Amino acid sequence: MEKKSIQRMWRGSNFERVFWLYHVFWWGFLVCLEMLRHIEHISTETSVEIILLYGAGSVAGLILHVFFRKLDHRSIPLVWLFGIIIASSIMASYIWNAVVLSIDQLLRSSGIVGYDLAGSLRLFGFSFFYSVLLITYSGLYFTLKIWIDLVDQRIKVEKAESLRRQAQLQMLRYQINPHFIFNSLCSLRALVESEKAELMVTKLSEFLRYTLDGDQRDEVPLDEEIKVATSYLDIEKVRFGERLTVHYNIDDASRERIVPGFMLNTLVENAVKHGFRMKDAPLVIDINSDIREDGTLVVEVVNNGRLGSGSGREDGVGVGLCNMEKRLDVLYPGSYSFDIFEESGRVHARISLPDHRG
Amino acid sequence: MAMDLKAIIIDDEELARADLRRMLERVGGVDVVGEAATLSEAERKIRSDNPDIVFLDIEFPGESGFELLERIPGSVEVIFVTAYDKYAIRAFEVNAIDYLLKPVDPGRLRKSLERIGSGRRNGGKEPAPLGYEDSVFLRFRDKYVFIKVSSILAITAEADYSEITTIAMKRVLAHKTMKEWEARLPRRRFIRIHRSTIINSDHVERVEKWINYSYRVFMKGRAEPFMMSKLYARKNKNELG
Repeated sequence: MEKKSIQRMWRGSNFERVFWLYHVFWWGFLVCLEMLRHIEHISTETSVEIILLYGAGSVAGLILHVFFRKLDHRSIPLVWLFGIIIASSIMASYIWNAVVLSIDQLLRSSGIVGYDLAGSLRLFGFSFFYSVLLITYSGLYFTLKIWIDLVDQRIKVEKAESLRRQAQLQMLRYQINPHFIFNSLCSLRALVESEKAELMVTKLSEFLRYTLDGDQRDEVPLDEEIKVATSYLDIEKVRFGERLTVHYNIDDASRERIVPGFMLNTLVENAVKHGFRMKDAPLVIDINSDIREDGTLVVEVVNNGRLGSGSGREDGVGVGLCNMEKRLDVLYPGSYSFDIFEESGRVHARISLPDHRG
Repeated sequence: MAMDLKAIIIDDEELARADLRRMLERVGGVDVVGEAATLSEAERKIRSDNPDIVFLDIEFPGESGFELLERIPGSVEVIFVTAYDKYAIRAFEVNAIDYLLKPVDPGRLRKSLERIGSGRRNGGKEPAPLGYEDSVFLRFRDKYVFIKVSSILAITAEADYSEITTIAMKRVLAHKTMKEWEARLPRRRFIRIHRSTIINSDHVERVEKWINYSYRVFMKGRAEPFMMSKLYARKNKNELG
């Protein structure tokens, strides 16, 4: 039980964890530096003294930490923060000095250490040295704290964003009531007489089911993606008839490769939408997939439209493209590529994915 | 020429039955000999018409298609049909049971029929590990049984099959070895205490020392204890105090 609550506390504050690391590292570093400075004539006595000196310093650092922890640095103007850092560090340096002096005196009076540390220091001078060390320590302390806060904040925002999106999707799903929709489509199909209408209901159901369940999945075989894109295009073909032609050039080996759900369909929907917007002539869409020699999967959707000023990133389909790019960024950080370009009068939307996720 | 398979369609919605009938006509090889709108009517028809296949919808007003299973002979092939029931789909997936989604895709339907024609019993998939809230689907000799994993008290080995005792003290036989059970049941709850015994640790009442470093494990609601052998006692030191 106890272990659990400690873990929770630690997880609760990211800075706390980093603080201890920083604290140990800083004072350890100073001890090492001082040891090196005295490397020529190091003795047990000097070592004890150095450790005593910086041990007391680390206590002063902890006192500062306890004080700083109560401080909400975000609500204090920066100038004030500087003032507080300097003032509290000077104050802590006096405590430090006092601790060193009293321990030293204690050690000397008990005869453990013969070296006259206190006598060799000038009180004022030494607290100035302490102050400088503590101000640096506090400065770095807040730099670290502010930086970690920023990172935390960003993670929180991202988490909230993804939760919001999930909630929205869930809400949509409830509104749609899939159970009702699919049962209705089933009844509808029983009622229609035309075989063409029947086929369209089948394809629509297939597409709808995939949209409801599949587009949040991160790992889908390309083959499934192709099937859904085919359903979608079959539906569009019923709408557009002769004006839409689709060619599939699919490398069989690529069918088993894993891609993010709805990746292909996002490209295909984009191609249909923009292809028809940019010109009146029949739209020809090519869906190509291939595996290069180094194992890179290349999926490409080509249409005979033109790359206009609105390449599609700002409207409805554009949101789809942007979301997909964000997902690829997370799933294949730095190792994927996504380009939309015009080549010999045709618009290519091409995604290359490495063999393994980074 | 191969004989057509005899089928019965069970669904409370008339149009849904009509739709499936039409799809079966398109695919061919199946003769729909009857339809039923309720489970009791379905049970009667299955007994009288003796079909090869039953297309069974899951959602009925006030009851579930699963309930029919335990009342019909296990020789009948059942293909479940559902529009969008997440729980049912999960049950089918973990048990590798074949099912169809409404509106039924003719291609998928053909595949299911081919599988039955070739005599394979499941969808060719391996059953997946079960969660504590899942149900396990069993077919022993001439009976279908669905058991909630959380309601299993213990499993004991009997020759080449195993016997499941539920917390209601119901006993069910299954064609499964202890090894298969161990692989599929959730490890945190189910503990093997003997070469021929697996128990649900949620229902242990007390453990008593017994002769020769073995233990007696008493289960809630069951007077007779199970033996925990020396070997398994050592393995389970942490799980059972």
